[in-house]
Amino acid sequence: MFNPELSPPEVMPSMYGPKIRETRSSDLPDMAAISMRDLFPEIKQGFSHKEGIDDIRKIAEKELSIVNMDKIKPGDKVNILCSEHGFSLLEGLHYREMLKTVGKVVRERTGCNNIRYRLASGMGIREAKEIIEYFDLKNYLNASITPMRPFDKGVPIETEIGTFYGLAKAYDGDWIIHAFHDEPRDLYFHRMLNRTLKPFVMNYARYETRAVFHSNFTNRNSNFVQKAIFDSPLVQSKFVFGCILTSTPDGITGVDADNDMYRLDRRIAKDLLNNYGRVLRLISEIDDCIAVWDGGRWGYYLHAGGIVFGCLENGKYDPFDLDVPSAMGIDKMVEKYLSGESESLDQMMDLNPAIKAIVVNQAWAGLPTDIPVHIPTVVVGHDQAEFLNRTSANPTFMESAVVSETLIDAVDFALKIAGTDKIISFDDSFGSITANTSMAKYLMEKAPEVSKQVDDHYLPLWLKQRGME
Amino acid sequence: MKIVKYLSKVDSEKCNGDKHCEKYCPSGAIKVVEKKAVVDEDRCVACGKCYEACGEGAVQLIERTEPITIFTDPDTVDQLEIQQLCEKAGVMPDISICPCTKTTPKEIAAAIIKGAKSPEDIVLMTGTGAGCGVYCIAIVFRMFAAADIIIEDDPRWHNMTLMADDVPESIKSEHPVYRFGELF
Repeated sequence: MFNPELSPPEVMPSMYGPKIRETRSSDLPDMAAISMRDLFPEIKQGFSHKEGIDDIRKIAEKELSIVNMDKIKPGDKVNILCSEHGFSLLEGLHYREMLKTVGKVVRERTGCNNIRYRLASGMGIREAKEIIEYFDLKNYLNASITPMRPFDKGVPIETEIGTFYGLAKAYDGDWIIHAFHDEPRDLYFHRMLNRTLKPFVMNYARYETRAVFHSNFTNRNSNFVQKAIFDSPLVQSKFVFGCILTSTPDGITGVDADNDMYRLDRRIAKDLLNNYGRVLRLISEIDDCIAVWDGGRWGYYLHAGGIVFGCLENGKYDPFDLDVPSAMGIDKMVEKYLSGESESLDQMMDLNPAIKAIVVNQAWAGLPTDIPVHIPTVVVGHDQAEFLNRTSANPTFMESAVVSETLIDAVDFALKIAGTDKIISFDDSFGSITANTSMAKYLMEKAPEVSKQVDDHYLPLWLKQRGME
Repeated sequence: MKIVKYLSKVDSEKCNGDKHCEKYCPSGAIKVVEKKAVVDEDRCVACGKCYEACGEGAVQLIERTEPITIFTDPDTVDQLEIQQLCEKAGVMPDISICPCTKTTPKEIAAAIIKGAKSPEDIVLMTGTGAGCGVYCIAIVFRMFAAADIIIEDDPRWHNMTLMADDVPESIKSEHPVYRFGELF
């Protein structure tokens, strides 16, 4: 049933995840790959993880040809800032190619040979080092590449709203080039406001800055912080240009580069609202399901059709609608508390009631979540259960989850208890959604109506709210 | 609350004394003494940062014989004092600020009232910072500031207390798209 042409990307081995599973959700009987072309033919076509690497190099060279690099002199030190997340898109090879091309073009255009890549990690201390080794980046990029972690030495960044701390390694060169990607990822946080600037408050920032962004600001105004950091005298004194790997739920579409980050961000926001907005609204239409985590990053950040699981988890809200106070449901939770309807505020967010069970075939541990307390959760393999037990950010995960020896047993058990026959897998697929027949039929039936709603109602609203009509 | 079931253990043969473990330890439990890392078992909160940081594979997490519970009971201090601290900090006393340990501001307040003077004390008294270690620190700094306790910078932390409410009104009104001024 499963179309091998649409197989999910391979999983990178990591100390943050269990050993790679031999059986993936796409191997199960009755699982299908629903092509994005079939769901939404209007979405811009992209490269799958198996194709387009040479194309990306050519597109990047063309895009970079119109970028001004006059600031960079032959004896200067240039930091190309990049992110671990880019290597979690498809199989990471398109991002690697874009990074290589940026370095090559800067050398050719400026005569500068002191190019240093700075690879930021999401949370862990060894994430970036693993990626450097797995992708053979020192050789492939033909330049030095250094990990940056949230706990590394900081540098103060004075902004119009106060002092923040960036990572010293990000800013220790004469110039910085921001080499990122446009995949929306945790859009329930950034709300498509300054999306491409977000690494300045996360990836390139110390953990205290990340904490202020998450905890001391709200869901919408937090996105002013990355703007404030980017506009700071320190960042502006070093910034040369941005180069962004572009995507749609169908795959990697190309590269966009500009000296003006705001102009670039607006171009990308328009495309993302149009393309990802369709799959996002489709995911929110799912009325009940079993979700499978089956990839090489934290469960929250695994993709199905280019949309991360976190978007399903918070799926009853429209994170693109800026009039919705909180895409994470915190507003509803606090309202209940203040009205006396609820006695405590011990839950971080309002979970999507459509998720009836979760099967964890493989995923990284380490990102805090108490999902098993609220949603029946089946973990595949005692090795993975033990791994979760030892992870300090998930200390109680296994207190509420159950263990199954095999994926097929785990799915069978979930089907028995969930009261639904629809399964969707978050296996990091772009270009398709891995689902069982029942879910596939459901999504195919819903897609045309969703697309019409996006064209007629949602997209005009989203664009208007951002001044992009 | 943090129930500490594990403990860091150093293999001295593998340890090269590079101090990578020490600089990431939030509770000050692991120190390099005479070029070898040594773990203070009473202070180890099993966050695993030293295990992650060690490039030599010299640190392992082993099971404790008896798990230890880290918790400061808010009911053991003056409730009015807790309320005043939380109000001054601008935080709700009952909302979880640490997704790993579910610690509430009222527990942080209780720890401060009982003598916590630094983020390291907070880790040891509440477990906050012993999980992923990334998201909880901002409210902790806010609570210290409300208690008029000055936190000096340390290689492990920079004191940051900024909140959305602190943003100047002129900036808020200039950028309506960010919805400053709304509760959420």
